[in-house]
Amino acid sequence: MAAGPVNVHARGWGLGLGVAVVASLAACTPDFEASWAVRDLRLLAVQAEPPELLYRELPPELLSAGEGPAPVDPVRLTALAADPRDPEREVEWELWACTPEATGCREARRRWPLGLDEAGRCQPLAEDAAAPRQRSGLAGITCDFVPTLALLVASLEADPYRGFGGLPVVVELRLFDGQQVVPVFKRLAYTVPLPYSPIPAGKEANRNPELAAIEIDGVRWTRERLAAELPRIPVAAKRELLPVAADGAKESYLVVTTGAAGERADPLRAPGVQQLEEALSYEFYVTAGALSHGRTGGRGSTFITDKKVTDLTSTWTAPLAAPGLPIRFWVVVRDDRGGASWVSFSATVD
Amino acid sequence: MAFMGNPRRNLRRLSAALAPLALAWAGLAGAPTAGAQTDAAIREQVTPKAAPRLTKAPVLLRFVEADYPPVAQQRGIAGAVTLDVTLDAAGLVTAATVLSAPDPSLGAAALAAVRRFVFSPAEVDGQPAALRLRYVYRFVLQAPFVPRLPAWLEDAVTGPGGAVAAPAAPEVVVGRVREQGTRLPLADAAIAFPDLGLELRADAQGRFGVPRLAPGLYRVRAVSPTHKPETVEAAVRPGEQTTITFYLEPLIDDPFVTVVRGARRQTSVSRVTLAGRELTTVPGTFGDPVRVVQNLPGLARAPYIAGALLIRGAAPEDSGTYLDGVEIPQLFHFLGGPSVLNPEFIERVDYYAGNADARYGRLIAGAVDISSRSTQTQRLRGSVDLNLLNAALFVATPVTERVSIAAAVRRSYIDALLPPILAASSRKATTVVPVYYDYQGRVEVRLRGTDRLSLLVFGSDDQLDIATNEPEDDTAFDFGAKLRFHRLVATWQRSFAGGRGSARLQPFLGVENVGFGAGATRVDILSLGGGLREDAELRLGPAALLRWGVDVELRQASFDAQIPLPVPYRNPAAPIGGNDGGPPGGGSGLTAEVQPVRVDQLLGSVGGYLGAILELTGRLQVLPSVRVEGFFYYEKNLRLAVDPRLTARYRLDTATVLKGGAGLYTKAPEPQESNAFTGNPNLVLAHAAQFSAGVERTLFVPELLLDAQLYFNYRYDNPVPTEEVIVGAEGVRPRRWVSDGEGSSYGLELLLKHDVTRRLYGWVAYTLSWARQQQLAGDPPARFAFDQRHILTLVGSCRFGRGWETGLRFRLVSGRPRTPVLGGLLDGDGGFYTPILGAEGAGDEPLFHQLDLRVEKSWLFDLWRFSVYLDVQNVYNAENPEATLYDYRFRETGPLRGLPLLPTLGVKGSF
Repeated sequence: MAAGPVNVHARGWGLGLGVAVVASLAACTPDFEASWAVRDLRLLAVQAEPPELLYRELPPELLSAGEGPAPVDPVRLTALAADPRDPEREVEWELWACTPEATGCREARRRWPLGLDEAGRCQPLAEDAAAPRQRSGLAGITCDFVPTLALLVASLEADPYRGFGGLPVVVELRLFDGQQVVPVFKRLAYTVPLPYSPIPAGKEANRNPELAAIEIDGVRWTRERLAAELPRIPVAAKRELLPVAADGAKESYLVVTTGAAGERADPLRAPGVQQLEEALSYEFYVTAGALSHGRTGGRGSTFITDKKVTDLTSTWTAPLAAPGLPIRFWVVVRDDRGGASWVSFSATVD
Repeated sequence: MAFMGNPRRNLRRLSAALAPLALAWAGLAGAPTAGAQTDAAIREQVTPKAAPRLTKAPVLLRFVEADYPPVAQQRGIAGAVTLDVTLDAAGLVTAATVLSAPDPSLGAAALAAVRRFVFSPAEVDGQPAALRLRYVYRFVLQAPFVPRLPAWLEDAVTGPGGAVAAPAAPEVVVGRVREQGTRLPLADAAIAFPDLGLELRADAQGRFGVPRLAPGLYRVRAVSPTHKPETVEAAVRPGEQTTITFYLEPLIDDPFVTVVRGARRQTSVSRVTLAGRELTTVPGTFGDPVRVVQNLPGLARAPYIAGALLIRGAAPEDSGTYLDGVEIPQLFHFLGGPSVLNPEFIERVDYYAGNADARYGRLIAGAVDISSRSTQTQRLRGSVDLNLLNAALFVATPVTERVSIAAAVRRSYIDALLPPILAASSRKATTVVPVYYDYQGRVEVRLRGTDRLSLLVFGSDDQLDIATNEPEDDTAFDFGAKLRFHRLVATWQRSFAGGRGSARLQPFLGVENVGFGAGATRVDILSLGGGLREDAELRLGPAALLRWGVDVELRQASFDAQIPLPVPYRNPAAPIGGNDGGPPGGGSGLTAEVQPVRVDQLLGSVGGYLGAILELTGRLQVLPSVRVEGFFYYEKNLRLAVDPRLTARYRLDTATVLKGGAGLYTKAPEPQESNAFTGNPNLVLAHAAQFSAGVERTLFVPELLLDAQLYFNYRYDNPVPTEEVIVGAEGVRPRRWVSDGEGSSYGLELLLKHDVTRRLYGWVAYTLSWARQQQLAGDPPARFAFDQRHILTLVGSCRFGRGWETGLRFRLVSGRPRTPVLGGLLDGDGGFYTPILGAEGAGDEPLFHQLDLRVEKSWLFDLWRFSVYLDVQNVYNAENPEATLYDYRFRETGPLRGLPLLPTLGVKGSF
């Protein structure tokens, strides 16, 4: 359940806290469908491969005003889309790229529609051009993205951090399901050295985490095994699902901390380099039955003790009647800096 | 006041009514014959003289009581008088002589009495015969009955309208006339003795007395114009003082002592005063005077039962709340609890929607000034109040004629009731335990003239624990918060310059402790401080009154915390609201571990003001003033503000006043906005310019007043969050807050109010308002979160006699602004949906309407009063959604239901 955009003045936090507390305690709240239930056309994730492009030396003219594609490597964008009503259906979609100051491209100051060529590359078109609609199966929503110089320069100008720690570029994918629009946006990171943002020695670009296997009631099902055979589960049975990350999926990484710039010195802040560790999180989706948790792992909070930060399992309960068709599962793994991948498999219930 | 008769000390005489008898007559040898005797009789046998045989002794048929000679009484002379008495054959006394007497006067008195004796005829040898006998008459002095006449009765003189009936015997009746339930003396009550045609009046203390009254049974009637008369039967017995106490039932039961000292001078544009029954009997306010203010014009409706004061489009922290001019750090207890002051300590509440005069500072919106009630009392009084949420106790008593003390304490017990209620509901995992208490104590000394000295101590302690600990639940949420403060305020009120001036000096001390903890995070803020207020005024002439004052408040704040600190790095692909929680484009992360933080700083302000009230013509009154204040705030900021203000009132006719005002107001940024860890130390003072104009008119009767005002407030230099990042050679730094915030509010306020009378009070309040405030630096001002276009409130209460009082409150309020949600946008990096928003504040939540009722029944007893009240909020259970809830992808919606029907029952006893 999400509370709507409560338009509370930032300084009235005390009042908002009171409302939030009462709202959270109110027994009379609607019973909404859980996010793990896939009943219609859904976008579950978008992967950028690689999630980060890192250049220790600034490519020539990368951040100069100009036209044409930027001299950077392409990033393969792949969407995870599903529709249990018709898994083999085709769907229309369009892509946009925009500056990163807003949430998605709808409210961005500048945005460009992306055109897809025959080689599968998507590039920004003119800003005022109409967005071309693409059509493909649910598994074919993919392209190799290369930004233009104009997009990078505009993103640098619009970024509040001016590219410090990496320059984000936002892409947005919109699926069309009749009158319904199903949108998702993703940030791509271009890390380049800047006078105020050096790249620490030893820093490596982020990689997408991988899932090695899913354990079902303690039995390991690798990707290959899940691709080759279907787990068979009796009706109404419970199965505990545990995602297993591949070796090296959880990375340590270096960041540059901000310094004491500005009018007043911050007593706690000193410029430097800090090593942090990723926190992997897992999402579960299914087309039938019920899951105990849609999300496990992550970083947790100092305010709330959440068992599911360390206990990564989610228990699935099979439906009471055999649905006739295999049930689809998806497990998505994310690091907390833009990397993602997934495993999908089917199971039969009888 | 007059009394009957001339009271003087009298020795009372007891009659020596010891009946004599006894006779014996000579001639009989042997034992003397004893005749009939009375109880107290003393008899002496007298030896008979001659041979003839006395066959029937004479019997005393009629005894005559001798008058005890006053001189002998006064000199204490008593004793036996022996007399020689000659009876004829009929038994009549024909001669008597005194043979011996302790005093000639006693002899003479006995002789006079004996001569009137009548005996039955004696018989000698069976025939009536004359006889001589000796008789002893005894005079006995007994301890005189001294009635305990009070001094006031001894000293009183006969006044007009009083006449003492000539009593045969001096007995005393004293009495008192009081009001039933309150025991207040009824001055000038009339007391009548219908059987005697006697009338008198009670004095200022309700006392009356009749010093001389013959024994007997009397009807006594007490009458008062505002009370039901009462008649009793009083038995007046010899040798006793009779006391009568009347407790008269008031015709209209009014537990509130309304002392009318004359109309209060109205010198403001926007002041509304609440007093008396208005403070505690408005439905839906839980008997809390400060919540009643929420029903006046200019205040937005706070959600549920929150007590926040949202005055003319401003956040609660932008308005000031004061007790006798000293700022209160916290006004309400947690989670919709009552205000921190017991209603027994509150005399009145002054609400300023805007254009508060220069006495009030450190605010940019409105003010609520609570005046404490004088605890001067002539008698012990108190009350006990119990309802579903808390119990309260109040006591006041005189110590000497000039010194009184009062104390009140209140404690919640919802911490005992709520957990089992929640356990029984579907939300098994959550426990909410709010615990609060508050206390007030006051010593008041009446000095010479109208000068007063008082010491007030008050404080509040709030603790809130929310815990989730169900084994099946994955999340354990452990949050605790506390907020406590204590204040000591001394007040010296005095007059000077021969009565032309008056001043109130208030030094005060305070301690405040705010803290919360969640998981490993802990924050504790301790403030020790004090200050001084002086408010004075001096009449310079018939048309000019000068006002000035000092307002100093300083505190040493210690911020001591274990908190996760922002790690100043930036992750360009970080999702919104994830562990980073930063703005779009990625923000700073937080450290995994908590770190200790400690900051000590002096905060507060030193201010003074100067103003005047000028009567420029017979009709025009102008109040110019200026307030100068220096503010200390994080981090080591010291800034000065000069705020001129002006109010004018023009009396158009006897019933109509035109009024207007303009002024500047200043406050310092809040600590969390300007400290180095979460805020920006470069913030400047926040300002507001306020303008208002209106008219007041008395309609039909003096108690009915219409007040209409237009207002415009412009806020500038307000702190507003920013996403701006400072990029410099040494790195980058988020600015977080800037002082560029702007906002404005304007509208119309109407108030039609009927003052409190014995039977009823009520008002209709209507507000038409627009309020906008910048939410983010660089964005245009958006609708204020509680920008409710129309606010209509009807309040009324009526007493029907026999202790019944009923009241209602009806509210019809536009919904809060709602930004339409057009759909959900999946954040591909976090896996969560964010709403796709339409035009900011383009719509409203549904219209709010609610009816609250209150019924109270009181019983008056002689010495105390008992009442039961039932307060029902949302009588017809309107749904009144407070917000709209959405599913995970913002497609399905559902209401967050408002307060359901909520009954509250309470009992109160007062004496």
